[in-house]
Amino acid sequence: MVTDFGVETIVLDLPPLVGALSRRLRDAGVETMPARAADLAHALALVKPISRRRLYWTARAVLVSDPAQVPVFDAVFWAIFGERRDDGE
Amino acid sequence: MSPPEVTGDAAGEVRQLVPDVETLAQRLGGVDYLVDEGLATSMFVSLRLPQPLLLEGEAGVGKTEAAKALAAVLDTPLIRLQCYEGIDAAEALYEWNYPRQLLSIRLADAGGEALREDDLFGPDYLIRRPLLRALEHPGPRPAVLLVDEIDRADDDFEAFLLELLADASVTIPEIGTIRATHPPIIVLTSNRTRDLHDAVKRRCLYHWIDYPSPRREVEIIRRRVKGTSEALAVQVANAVSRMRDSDVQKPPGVAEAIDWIAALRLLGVERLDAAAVDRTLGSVLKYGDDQEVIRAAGLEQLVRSGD
Repeated sequence: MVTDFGVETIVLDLPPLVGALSRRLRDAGVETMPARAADLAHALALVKPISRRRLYWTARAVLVSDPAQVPVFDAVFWAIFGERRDDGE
Repeated sequence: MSPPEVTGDAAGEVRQLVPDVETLAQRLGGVDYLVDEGLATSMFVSLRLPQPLLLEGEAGVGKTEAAKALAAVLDTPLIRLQCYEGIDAAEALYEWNYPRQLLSIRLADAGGEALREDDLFGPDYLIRRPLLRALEHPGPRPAVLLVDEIDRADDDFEAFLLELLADASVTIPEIGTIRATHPPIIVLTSNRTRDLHDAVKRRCLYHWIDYPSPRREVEIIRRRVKGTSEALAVQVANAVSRMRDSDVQKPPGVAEAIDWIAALRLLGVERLDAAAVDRTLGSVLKYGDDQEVIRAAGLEQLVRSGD
């Protein structure tokens, strides 16, 4: 399925990946509250279809709270979810 | 503590209007607010979780406009709390209308009536400030509460605000507790003049709004100033982008690009050249010093094609 933003849907087993994302962000120095993992799971249930880019923006909205954290977030996220593709915005 | 869930019909109405990210993006486009996927996603999640959304970005990227557009899409009032240094609960939440109370006392005196204290501290004597108005909004959909430039307020106020919004209720000693039936949709903006309290960051979703890509800016300009040719919009978007990369104190935002186009169109300019820039520079760069910086670098530089 391709949406208005031209993103393709991919199927992932999300809960373990989301857990890994929070953990690795913490290891990299981006503190996230435990409640944030639950928020993210809830947000991902709302945000469908979940393309990789949609997943990126959802996770970033929930887990990042400062622009200084973005480079770390990017590095961790793309390390887990595969190569970044800058197709459009 | 997470904010109370929007329940019942209000949630249903919001869900119906905004069933998914694409629909939200389309509806925002319908009110001439163009979003990229990042902003659309964060706004959607904020609406539907629901959780307040903190928007940051350079001045003029459209943070305030985002809240306005959201209110337009939901066909609900936008209630704006503009923050400033020293803002307090009396300005943000409520205060008693002392002149009116005094007047009532005098009238009662003159008429020989007995007036009880309770009479003077009832809803009629309450001046409702934005936060109270947002909590009292009767629906059918929640109001959009815009807390603008929260970084200008003091730390204490931030803590007070977040607590109040988390509870979606307020206790007025003389009246009792007022609980929101439709907790507002909350958008906060900050220009990062200081770091915000951790509590704010913990309770909010976050999105940094970048300047739009030149392609998107062309689209925005043409939506906002109808009848603008693509060629002129492209030239303006490129020139504005060069100004942002230059050494000006106040880089032009999207709003300034729109002002500029409006001025150029007013003068009948269809092609941007150095002479046209010269006549209209004040509409895009509001500081004299910044205009000097750009003039010194050469106006020709701004309008050269390509990059």
